[in-house]
Parts: sequence; structure tokens; C-alpha cells
Amino acid sequence: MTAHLTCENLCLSYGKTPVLTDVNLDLVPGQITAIVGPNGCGKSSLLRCLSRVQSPTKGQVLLDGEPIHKQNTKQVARKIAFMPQSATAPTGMRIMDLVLRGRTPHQSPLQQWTSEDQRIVERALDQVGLTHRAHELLEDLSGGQLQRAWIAMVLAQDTEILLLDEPTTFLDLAHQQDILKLVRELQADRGLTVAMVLHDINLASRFTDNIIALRDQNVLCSGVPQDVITEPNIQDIYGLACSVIADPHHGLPHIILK
Amino acid sequence: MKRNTSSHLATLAIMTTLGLVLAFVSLWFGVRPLPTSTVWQALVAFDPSNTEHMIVHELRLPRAMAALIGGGALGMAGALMQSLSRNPLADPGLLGVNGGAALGVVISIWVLGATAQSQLVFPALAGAGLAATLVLLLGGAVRPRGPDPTRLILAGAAVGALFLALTWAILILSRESLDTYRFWVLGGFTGITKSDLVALLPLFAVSLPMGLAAAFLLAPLILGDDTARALGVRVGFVRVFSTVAIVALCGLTVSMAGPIAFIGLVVPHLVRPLLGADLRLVAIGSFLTGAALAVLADILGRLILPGQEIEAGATMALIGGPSLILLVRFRREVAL
Ligand SMILES: Nc1ncnc2c1ncn2[C@@H]1O[C@H](COP(=O)(O)OP(=O)(O)OP(=O)(O)O)[C@@H](O)[C@H]1O
Ligand SMILES: [Mg+2]
Repeated sequence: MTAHLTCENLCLSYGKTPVLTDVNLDLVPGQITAIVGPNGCGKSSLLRCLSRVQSPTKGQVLLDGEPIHKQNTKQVARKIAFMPQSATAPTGMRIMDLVLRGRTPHQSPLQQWTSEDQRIVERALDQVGLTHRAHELLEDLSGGQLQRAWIAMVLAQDTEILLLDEPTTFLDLAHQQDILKLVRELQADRGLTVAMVLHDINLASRFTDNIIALRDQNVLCSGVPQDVITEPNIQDIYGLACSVIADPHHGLPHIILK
Repeated sequence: MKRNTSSHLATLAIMTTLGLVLAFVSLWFGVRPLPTSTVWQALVAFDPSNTEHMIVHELRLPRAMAALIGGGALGMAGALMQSLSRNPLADPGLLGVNGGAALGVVISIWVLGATAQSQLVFPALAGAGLAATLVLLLGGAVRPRGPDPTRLILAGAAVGALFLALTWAILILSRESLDTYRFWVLGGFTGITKSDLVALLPLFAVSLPMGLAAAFLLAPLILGDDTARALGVRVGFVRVFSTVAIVALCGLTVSMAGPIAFIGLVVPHLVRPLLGADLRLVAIGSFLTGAALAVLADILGRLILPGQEIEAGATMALIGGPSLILLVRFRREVAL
């Protein structure tokens, strides 16, 4: 039984500029969904609405059928974890301090720290491979290590739904794979529902179950990678001509730009 | 983890000891220097018929306690302020309460003819409260998403400037006011009586725990508004609550002791290298260090010119200026 996140007629504008218009979507519980689309098409805005960080102008986001913007913030934060695209941390903070913050929604003023917190934080550090660096300062890390520290923070939140905005952007090829494999493992072992913004269509094809493509404030197409990654769709989403072939290892769609 | 926690506790314990020792030492000094043994006797075996004991009880003890509490409140408010505004150079004075307190003071001198330091405490508190309310309203505290830190500071600057302008207008109208005001505006703990302290203590007893609570609430905000919201923090509420705590701490201190600069600005920078980035620890450490520093400034003010006292506010500026330069020169960059 995992949580089910959907949205209905979601509209968002910043001031007078509309960014999302009447978006309807359904994150398949227990599966991984990629959100793709050109820069500035509203992917981050969509994820911020889904995570309750941003209130939509109209429409609503439903968690198991209940509107999340009406629910208790802490309750929602125990079910949905969100990693923003550009996360900032102050100087002097250690990896451990950051990951501990992920336990915030599970703590109360009177109960700050339990052995359960300890166990989950250690597990999260281990999952991203930062256990032995837990005491290093964030400002001393490389971009990729920093990204993994942030991922450990959301993992420590121990939620059923994970919303990640560009989790692989600063990573080298090997670490991109590591993160996406980790996400796949979490989904397989614990039945997590994951939605993440990815820019690399081939990675999305290889590591996700569903793809949602955004264009012009709305969902252009969505479905399994085989249905979304087609020559006409790539032309519509990015205005790029390409060929789609089956990749030699897994037979999944793979694009090659012309 | 374990190692860190215990070394932090040790640091806090050292800060506490330092403050208490300095406070005890401060009881020796004054117009009439008292021997340590007399001071000790006055504390453990108080004899009301002994004038020296009375001096310790009625004058020096309230003064030392006022310096501890006032300095601590400013230190803590500074740590909260820098975290709230995400600006390492923010001083709680930026929220305009000093201007409000100054206006309250000159009005009470001008209209009510107040002259003694202790007659100025409640007018200053009223002025500071008025300024704080205006700053909160203008800063957007009642908007659904809560105040925006930049807006709060702008509102603070505007309200502070307005109130200071009104203050100067009154000072120009009334020469007598200037004499009392000139003394008040230096800031210090000399004129504080036991009854002032007793009257203000309940208010401090509410606002210091509020400051501590604000430190716990603000701590997750260092990761940015989006992350904090995603972690279930009610960002708007936290900002309003913290601002109220900051203005309460500063308003009470400025009412008690006049404006004392630099503690709120410098102390958090002294504390952070020792205690790390956790605002909860930094706020507690800043309270303890601010308390110790204020007492130190008060002691030095009695030592620098023999036979005369320099107000702690002025001594603090003498200590604070150079230490700020040292901080800027030698510390590595801080981002909040
Ligand atoms: N806080 C904001 N205020 C005003 N406009 C905004 C704000 N955030 C985003 N926008 C605008 O909304 C649009 C969508 O932005 P969004 O960040 O959602 O795009 P994105 O798809 O995530 O882009 P990218 O791939 O570059 O991350 C952009 O045109 C952007 O300029
Ligand atoms: Mg984005």
C-alpha cells in the first residue's frame, strides 16, 4: 500500500504570467516517473506544487484523494520528500548535520532525537556512499558529492513518495547511474513512488517506468518510455529532429540526434 | 556525533563559567572598591546594617545581573537576526526598535520631565513596542506567506529612521531633554536599580525562552524556504514568531540599558567557529558569550579611567569596532 499522488486542473501563475494551465496527472504508485521538457517549461514549478512547497493558483493536488494544501504540513512531510533544484546550505554545516535535518518532520519540540532517527540517517548515508565522510563540511565537497548529500537528506525523511528535481545534474556518468540505480532499488525494495525531473532522455528511458513530457504549460504526452520517446514527440517537445533506435542492451528506446 | 556533542557541552560550560566569574569580579569594582572577602560575605551572609553589603545588594548585584541578562539577550537576538535575514552582517538594531525606544525616552523627558535612568525604562519599552509593531506590519507579517526578511529589514530601517527623526525634532525643541538623552543614548548598566530589574525580569523570563524556541524553529530554515516547507515547517509562522522574539529581546534590553551596539553583531561570529552551524547551539552560545562580554565591557568601563566610569555602551564600541575588523580580516567567509 503506497501513497497515491495526483493533481487536478492544476494552474499556476507567477504574477500575471501563467506557468502551468490545467495540468492533470497521476503518479503511478510504486513506480518511477520522469518529468522531461525544455528549460523554463514549468517542470520545477510542477514539482513544487506537488510537494506542497508552492500553492497552486487554481486546482488541487491530491494525496490519497485528500487535497494536500489543506492537510497538516508535518503529516504531508512524512509522506512526501522533495529535493529542490537549487538547494543552498550555510557554511560550517557538515554532511551529517544536513542529513539529520531530513528527520525534522518526525521530531517534535519535546522529542528531538531517537535511535530510530540514528538508524535511518546512517542507512541514508550508506545508500549514497557517504558514510565515511559524514563529518566533512559541505563547502569542502565537490558538486556531485554535495548532490548525494542532499539526496541522503531526502532519503532520511523516510517517505513513500520522493520528488527529485534534477537529481543527476552535477554528476559524472558513473554517479548518474549510481543515483538512478539507487532510486530503482528503493522503488523495488520499499515500493516507493518516485517522480524526478531528468534532462537526459536516454537515462529516463533506461531507468524509469513512465515519462511525462511538458511543453507550453501543459502535459504534452505521457506513458511508458516506448510510447513517449518517438521521433514525432521529440520533435514536438524540443523541436529537434532525431532517430529513435532500440538500445542494444535492453531494447529500450534510445534517441540519436540528427 | 557523540564526541561533537560532548565537546559542545564543554564549550557551553566554559562560556557559562566565564560569564559567572566575570559577574562576580564585577562586584568588586565601583566608586568604592570592595575587597573580595566583603563581596563574598555580602553574598553568603548578608547583613542589611552593613553599608558595604547594601552596596553589593542594591547596586552592584542588579548591575551585574542586568549586564548578564541584557548582554545575553542581545547576543541571542543577534544570532536569531542573522539567521532570519540570512545576512551575516545583520544586527538586531536593524529592526528599528532602538529608534522607537529613543523616541519613548525623549517624549518622557520632554513631557513628563523624567531624568533618572529608571524613569526611562517603561517609556522606552512602549516606544520599542510601537516601533516593533509597525515594523512587523510593514514587513508583511500578516501576509499569508509571512514576512519577507528583506522587507522586514527595509521596514525596520524606515521605521527606525522616522522615529529617530522625531526624536531629534524633540531634542531641538527642548535643550533639557538633550542632557538626559545624551547620557541614555550611550547605553550602559550604571543607573539600573533593583526595582527596575525586578519589574523587567518577568518580561525577560518570557522573551528569553521565546528566543530559544525561535532558534529551534528557525534552524531548518537555513536550508532555504523550499526545503524547509518540504520538511513540514510553517515558514510564515516561524518568521513572525522569530521576529517577535527578536524585537522583544532587543526592546527589553534597550529599555533597560539604552542602545548597546556590537554585541548582537559580533557575538554570533565569535560563537560560530566554536559551536558550528546549528542555530540552536549558536543561539545558546551567543546568549552566554553576550552576557560575558557585556559584563567585561562594564568592568573595563570602571577601570580604564581611574575615578571615572565609562558607560558599557561606549566601552563595547571600543571593543567591538576592532574585533569586527579582526573578524572581517581573518575569518573565512560565512554564508547563511
Ligand atoms: N519564483 C518565480 N517567480 C516568477 N517566475 C518564475 C518563478 N519561478 C519560475 N518562474 C518562471 O516560470 C517558468 C517555469 O520555471 P520552472 O523553474 O518551473 O522551469 P523548469 O522547467 O524547471 O526549467 P529548468 O529546466 O531550467 O529547470 C519560467 O519561465 C520561469 O521564468
Ligand atoms: Mg527546473
